[in-house]
Amino acid sequence: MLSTSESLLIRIRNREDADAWSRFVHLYTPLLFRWARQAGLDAHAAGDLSQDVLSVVLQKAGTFCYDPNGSFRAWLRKIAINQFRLYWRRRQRHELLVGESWIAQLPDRKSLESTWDSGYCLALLAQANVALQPNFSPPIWEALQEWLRSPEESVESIGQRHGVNIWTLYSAKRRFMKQLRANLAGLIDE
Amino acid sequence: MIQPNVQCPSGNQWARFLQEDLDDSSCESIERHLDECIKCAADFKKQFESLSDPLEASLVGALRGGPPSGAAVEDERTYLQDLVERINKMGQDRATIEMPLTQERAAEILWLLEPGGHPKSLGCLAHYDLIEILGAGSSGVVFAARDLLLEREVAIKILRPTLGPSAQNRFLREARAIASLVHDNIVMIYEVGQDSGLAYFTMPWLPGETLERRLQRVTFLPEPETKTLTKQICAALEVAHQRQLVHLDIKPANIWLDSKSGQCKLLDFGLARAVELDTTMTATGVLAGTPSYMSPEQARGEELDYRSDLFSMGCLMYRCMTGRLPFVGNGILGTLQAIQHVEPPAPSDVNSACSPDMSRLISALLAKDPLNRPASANQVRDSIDMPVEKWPFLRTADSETTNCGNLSKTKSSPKRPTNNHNDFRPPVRHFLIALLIGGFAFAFGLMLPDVLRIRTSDGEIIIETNDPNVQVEVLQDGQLIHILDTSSQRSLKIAAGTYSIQPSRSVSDEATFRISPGIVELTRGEQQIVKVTKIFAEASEFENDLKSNGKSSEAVQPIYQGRTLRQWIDTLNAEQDSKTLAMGIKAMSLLVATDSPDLDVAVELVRKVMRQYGTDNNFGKTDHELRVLRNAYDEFFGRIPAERSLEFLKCELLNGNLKSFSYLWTLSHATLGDSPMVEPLRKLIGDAERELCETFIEAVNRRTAANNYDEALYLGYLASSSHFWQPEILQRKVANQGMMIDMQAHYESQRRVNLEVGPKLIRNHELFENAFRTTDSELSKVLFAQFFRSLHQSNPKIMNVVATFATNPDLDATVRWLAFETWLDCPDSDVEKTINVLLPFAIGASDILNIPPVGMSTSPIFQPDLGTIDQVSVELKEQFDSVKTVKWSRNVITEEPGEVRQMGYNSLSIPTDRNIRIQILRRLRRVKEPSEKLRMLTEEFLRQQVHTFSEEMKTAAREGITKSTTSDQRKLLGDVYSQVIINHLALLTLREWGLEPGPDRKNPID
Repeated sequence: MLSTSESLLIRIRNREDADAWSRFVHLYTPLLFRWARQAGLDAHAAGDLSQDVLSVVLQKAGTFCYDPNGSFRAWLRKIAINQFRLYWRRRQRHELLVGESWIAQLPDRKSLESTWDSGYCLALLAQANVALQPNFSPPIWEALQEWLRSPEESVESIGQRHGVNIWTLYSAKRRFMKQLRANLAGLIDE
Repeated sequence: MIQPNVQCPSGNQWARFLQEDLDDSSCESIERHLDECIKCAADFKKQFESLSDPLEASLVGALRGGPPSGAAVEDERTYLQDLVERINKMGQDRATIEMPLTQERAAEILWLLEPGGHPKSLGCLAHYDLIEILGAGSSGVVFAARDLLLEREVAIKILRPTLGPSAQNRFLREARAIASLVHDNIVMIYEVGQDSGLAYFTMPWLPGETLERRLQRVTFLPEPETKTLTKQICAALEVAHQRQLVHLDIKPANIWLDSKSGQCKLLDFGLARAVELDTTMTATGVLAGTPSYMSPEQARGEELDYRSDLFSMGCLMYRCMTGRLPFVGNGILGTLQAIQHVEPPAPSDVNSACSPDMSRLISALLAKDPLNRPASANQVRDSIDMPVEKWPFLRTADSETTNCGNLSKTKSSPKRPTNNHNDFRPPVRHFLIALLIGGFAFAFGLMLPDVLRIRTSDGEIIIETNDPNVQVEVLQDGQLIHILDTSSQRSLKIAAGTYSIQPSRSVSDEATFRISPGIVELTRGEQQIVKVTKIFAEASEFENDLKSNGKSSEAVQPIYQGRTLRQWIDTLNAEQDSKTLAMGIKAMSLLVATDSPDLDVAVELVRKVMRQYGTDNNFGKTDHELRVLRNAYDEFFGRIPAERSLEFLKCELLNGNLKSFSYLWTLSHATLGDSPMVEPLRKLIGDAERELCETFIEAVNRRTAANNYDEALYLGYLASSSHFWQPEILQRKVANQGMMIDMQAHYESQRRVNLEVGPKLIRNHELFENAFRTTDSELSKVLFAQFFRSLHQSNPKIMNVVATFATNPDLDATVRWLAFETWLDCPDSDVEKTINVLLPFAIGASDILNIPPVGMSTSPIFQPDLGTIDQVSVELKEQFDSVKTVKWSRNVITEEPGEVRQMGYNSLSIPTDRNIRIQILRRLRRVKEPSEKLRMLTEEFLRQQVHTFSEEMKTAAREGITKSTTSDQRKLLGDVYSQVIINHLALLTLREWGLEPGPDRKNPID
């Protein structure tokens, strides 16, 4: 059961809470990875970067004081961009070391930030959505996903197609949204 | 129709149902009800659909976008899954997470490796596939790796590639030391090797954690566990000590707790050394350790024996039992002092759970004098389970007759220095050394901050020379180890040894030096004087000798402060610390060959640093940091070929940013302390003045064309405040090139976007002030006049800032006047807010402002407003009845006979203070409906302005000005006419504001 009343943000501060960390990694790795790819890194570099960022999060989580007014998105963005720059610098240094003349332009902060901001919510939601799958039986999950993808279609027809009682479907959707909201508490600015 | 078999839920229940606030069974019953009750179902559907959830809307958006597809994306998906697992594992086993420093260190090594075959591999070294980073220390990085030949997991320690040959020796020594020790509690060594230029050794990989990490988690250990641990470590130490090895770095971070066997293992013999055998080590006296766990004798840099380890062991046990360090001071220095002079509270006083015996044992280990500690690790191990009366060392602690078995040979400090005065050396000196060397080490990030290396037993080389700017190189075994710049440093403290001294290659081409002695044999604590004499005659045999010497030393790669050029480039790319950056820049200037492509790399690096950190204090670094950086720039550009320096400066003018071209400004101002290199640089710039002026003009044109207001303005200051750029040349050139026109047009356009300028002005307040403070040329005054004028239409807030410019006594007088005028001219300025600041300033201004009286000044700012004067001609007529009409003109001095008299206002001498009063009154006149506050503030002032005239004055005024009027008369006339205007304006204002002229009216003019 993945739902929780306690925010993931608070839970990852506890070093013994392996489940929280695992969920956090599953949520954020794809987000970081895609962002790094968009920013121009190859897959391996993007993977390393994601790992670096998350290890910093891991180290800093204990000290990250949750500020209800501050946004986690911005906090993480800062770490990600710092790591990105660090990576860029290392790469430049490496190129210097092996004697190639590669001094490519570091993407400017503005564009890194805007890429981050535009992708953040969508990636997180998509990932959080996937993470909830084990909580629902396959037909309900399928129906639910279909409903979410095409909200204009009538519940009855979706329910019928998947053989799911519509009230069960309504109930499942409520449950789904509740869990989704709990899982993302504090992670996105609603 | 099926009737519902349950009652319809209440309104409250519905609300809670919708808010997802009901337990599962209630939900189920409602759902059942919904299946059956059509009314409720319809209601519910309606309500459910009317709920709009922004989160759901976002989710729909996210899901509709869908994941990207394609073969490449499929590949990535697998990779991503792997990645998630890897990162997840990293978090589950959090012991593997180290500070970013570890990653940096690891990265240094990983770049040099072949990529590994396995997707999870970090890289391949020899037959090891590196899997993950376990930790990093001062000398090396430890990885978990897979031995591909033997197919087993190992821990591999790899020496950091950036360390020099002495580190390699130490590294090998560590491996040998460990290999020579076989014990359950000492980590075993599998193999030592070298591959891809990296030295490494491998050890078994054991699951577990360090004691340090354990203590971080649990703070302190229960006594039985501490006892077990102590016994094990002591057993390990005993083995090492029996082989005459002192570990020297006993601390929790170097104790590995093997979770599988429950045994602990002593790690990291990187500092260990042989007491008896390795005399060279003690001769140069390189000591190291971790300050918090150092013994007093270690902290003093004295000779050591195994009892130093016992003291450290005591510190470790203290920490295990109490969760605290026994010695804590303010910084390293404080800690080292505490170790020598502070008696820590007994462990049992800190933690009541600590038994008295245990407490006593720890206190015994922490004895300041090694002779008062237990005599061997064995004794400690045995004492743990013994009642205190049976402890061997307490009875005999003060005697020299302790029985310590096969260690008796070393018991009485066999390495005690023969020259006894060392024992009485005041500790302060060692502290200084510790601090200096320590600081050096940290600045370079060569080692972890908690490891301190102390170089003691240095000798000193002192240079005597007849040339204050000579540089000499100090070489050992043909390797450059130090460059001594005698302008800043006359002596060098250096480890004992044999050195050769030669003039720096960069100067040896120009002159010949005789160096005596050329080879110095330095022993410990000794001073050697080397005489360097500059020979002004032409080439001699001696010089030829020198040249051939120079050639031979070219074969080895030169190093500066222990690093080669490549390593310095590497350092510069990674560092942000000013001191290190400065050192690196200096190093590059000394090490780079002027004809090699490395010079390009070096120049680009300096450019990067300069653009990032700048050279003056408007950009965040402190004065001190900037001085350090600036001196490094000076040295760099002073050393590399002149044409390269010039090219750099021109490039920065054209393409650089505020930070980088401000270097030209700092070059022209000896405000931040100069390196000896700055003079040649100034000369260089002086010689290329014309060229630079042209570049400068183009630079300004580029900025103005791009509407880059900040930089254009800054270039304006730069031009006007440079000492070595003849202002006349520059001004003329700039004017000729139409720069002024450009600037003017620019300001005109700015006037329209004043809202943008205002905040800039407020933000850059200090920048502007600085520019004023240091400027004295006409050009910048004109630039600022235009700048201020561009603000006329702007908001009161900006005018308040302008008002502060007017009253700032640190500013150039003219600039203050310009600011004041701007304020006066601005219809929107907040008079009420600023008048009480500006009035006293304005009235006293003639004293403060040493500016010429109106009529004498050529600046357009001082031209009076003739329109205003015409207005008051009526008043003049009233005052001086014989004059029917006075027609004012600027310069003409013609007398019209009869009724009309034309007067040249500019031929009068109007005192500055009167002119200021006129301006203030004009400004006040514009306020048609004054507030009560403003009236109160100005009433007194207005009344005081009204004066009467003596008969003599009236006569003079009637006669007016002629070609024969003397200068004294002109002055008098100036007084009278300006006072007439003042009277007029003041009376008019008083009248209009409903104020009585008051008793002060008709004061005679002074």
